[in-house]
Amino acid sequence: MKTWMLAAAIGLTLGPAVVHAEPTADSEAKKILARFENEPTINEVQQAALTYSAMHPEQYESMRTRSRFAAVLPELRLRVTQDKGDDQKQYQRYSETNAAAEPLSDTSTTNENLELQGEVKWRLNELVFNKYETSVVKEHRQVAKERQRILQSVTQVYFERRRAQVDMLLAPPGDAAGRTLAELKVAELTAELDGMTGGAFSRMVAER
Amino acid sequence: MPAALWFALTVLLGAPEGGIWLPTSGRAGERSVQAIGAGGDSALYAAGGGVVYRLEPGAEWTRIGRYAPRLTWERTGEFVAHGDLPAALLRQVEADAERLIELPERADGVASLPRETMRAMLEEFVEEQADAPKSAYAVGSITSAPRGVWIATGAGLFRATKDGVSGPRADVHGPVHSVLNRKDETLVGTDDGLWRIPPDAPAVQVRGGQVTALTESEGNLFFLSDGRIFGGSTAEAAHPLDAPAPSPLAMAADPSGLYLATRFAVYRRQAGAWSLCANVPTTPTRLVTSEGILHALAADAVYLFSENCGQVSQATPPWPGGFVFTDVARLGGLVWAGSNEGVFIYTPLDADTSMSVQMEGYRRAVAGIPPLDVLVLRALEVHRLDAESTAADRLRPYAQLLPEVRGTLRYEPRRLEVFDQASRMTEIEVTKPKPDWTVMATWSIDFPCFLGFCTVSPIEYLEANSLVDDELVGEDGEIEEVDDPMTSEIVFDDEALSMTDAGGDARDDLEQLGLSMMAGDKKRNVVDRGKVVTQLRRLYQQRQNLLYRLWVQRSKDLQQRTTLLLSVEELDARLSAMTGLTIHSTGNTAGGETDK
Repeated sequence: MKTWMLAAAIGLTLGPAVVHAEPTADSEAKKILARFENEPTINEVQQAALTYSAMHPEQYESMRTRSRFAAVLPELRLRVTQDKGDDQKQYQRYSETNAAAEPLSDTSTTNENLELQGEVKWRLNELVFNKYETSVVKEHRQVAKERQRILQSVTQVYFERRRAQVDMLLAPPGDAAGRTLAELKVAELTAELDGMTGGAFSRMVAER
Repeated sequence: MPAALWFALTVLLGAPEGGIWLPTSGRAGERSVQAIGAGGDSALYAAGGGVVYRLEPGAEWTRIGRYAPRLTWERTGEFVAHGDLPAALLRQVEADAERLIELPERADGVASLPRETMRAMLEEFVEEQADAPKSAYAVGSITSAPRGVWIATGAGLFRATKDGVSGPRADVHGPVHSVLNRKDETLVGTDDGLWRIPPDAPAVQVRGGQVTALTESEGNLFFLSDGRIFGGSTAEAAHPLDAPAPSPLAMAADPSGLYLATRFAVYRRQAGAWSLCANVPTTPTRLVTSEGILHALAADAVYLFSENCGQVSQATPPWPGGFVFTDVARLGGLVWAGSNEGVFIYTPLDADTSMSVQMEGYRRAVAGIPPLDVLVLRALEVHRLDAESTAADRLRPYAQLLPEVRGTLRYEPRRLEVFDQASRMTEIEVTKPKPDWTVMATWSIDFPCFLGFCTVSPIEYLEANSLVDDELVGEDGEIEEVDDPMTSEIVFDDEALSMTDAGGDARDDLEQLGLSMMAGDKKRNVVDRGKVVTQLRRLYQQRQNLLYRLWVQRSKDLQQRTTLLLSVEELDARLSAMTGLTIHSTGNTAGGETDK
């Protein structure tokens, strides 16, 4: 009973326990970055940029296969020729004594020829290799390179903007001019992202 | 962990204060686990990602079985669940995977998806399913049982001992949340109600309603059901109790009282009255009492209470990034925590231990993404600079073995009329020939091709690449100088190509041009491939340096750490863009063992 009373007394004196926890730089950094959770992620912005630039190298992925499969279908050639002709022949006989001619025959000839020709051709070797495959791969490579360039640009601008935002939070400029310049920089980078995504960046921000 | 260290820690540690989480060795030391618990055989058990692990004192974690299937993906596009589990459970997991995993659309079909992509998707699926209470991969709790543990999962109740894993029990229905061993009975709380398992007899349902937590204090049974607390000497006699605050989240008890966790506080019930034990900064999801000590678990901290709630200290994650605590247990005087990074043990803080933990964290962070060689291979594939793409004409010699087949059908009907003027008669001749068929197969074999001297003919190359608009664009977006001026800005129109039928100088010139272009293309591929590899290696090394600064050097400057986190995120985004893989440093390093 005494023990219980002592414990109760300590409880009354001290009250509930308090958690001693110092905020770490990590948790604070995460909190800072969490402030931008209402903005689109880099993945979403990259996808928006690719959609806007209609840069879809995937469409080339099946082209090589299709170029080979195309060889299953033949090359078909059809030719129709019609030939019509009229001809008239007269045979006459002349004698040395008689100047007048003696008709032998007089015929009219009409001919009508029709020629139908069909040709199918399979290049079976193209089932294995089509000469246009190299061209397809080359085009694909060009598109992949351009896509890469867009992704790297949009990533660079996205994080440059995010750093500028974090700087404004953690080390805000002391004077009005500095603040204005910092805000202008963020606005400029936002506009750049909008330019790369056809305005999708600002739309996504507004929708959240 | 060596046996000597285990026992030394047992002796040295009382209620740990000012400690650090030390990773444990073995498989569960590095894999995501959802629950841990001490077994009746004095071993520690952990479960996560479908796998059950066991740790004996002085040994490493070992895998003893599965409570959920191993999931694989076949090239046919089907998900297949494997494991010594009921067929209905396997089919259910396959159906869930089919329904929830969104395969990226590719024009050449899903069969061409990279293995790394599928593996990441399967691991992500298992991790997401672990948070869904009704999923087979979700683990509610691990509770001590004779010679082992009970494992409460979304698919039912399993039993694990050192000999393996068995279950789920067919007589207990619904996803299981909690298990309580009482004298002569085991109680099981599920979504469908409260079940009693007598010794050597099938389970019987005692009550309805969802039961999420079960505990016992001073001979009385307490449980959380549908957001309310019930208490009584038996399950049948239990009646609702007043709660100190709405929405109780977790419950535990020991001889010192009944404990209840709400969103930001822990309460204690003694002699029928509730009192505030401690306010906590983050929401506790689980309370564990063991060896007279109360532990409250939140996603980002473990709160360690002294006896009678006198003091509480916060044990924060050992590493930065997306570390999430999932469970806590106490065994042999030591505190163990399960997390998405594996199982950890709480040890006294000293400089050496701290450094070794940080280095381990750094090692795992570096290993959290695929190795450089895999990234390089994927990047070359994405840029179409891989071996298959650059050697597109490798099948050309074999293509010659197939002929050109030509079939011709000819049909030539004729009609001839001759009219004789003298006799006034007409002769008509009609010819109706039969169709004339011809089938011809032609092989044109260039034997040097088989000896490796078969390249694309220059003229043919020009035909296939009549529009050349190559510009070498550097990583910085600038147009670079083209090494071979012959390969750039050349446009061939039909007129030029029609000259290919001609002979003489014009044809020779075109052949020379075609050869130059082919050589230029091959050279450019080599240069581009080198650039991709160099850039990737540079990004990878930058990422390693940044992670070292984050994990090991650990600057306390807030701006610097924020910038470092941002820089790692940016590097991950750039690596993802280059390789087409999903790379995210602050995510989990390991999910379930899905495809091994």
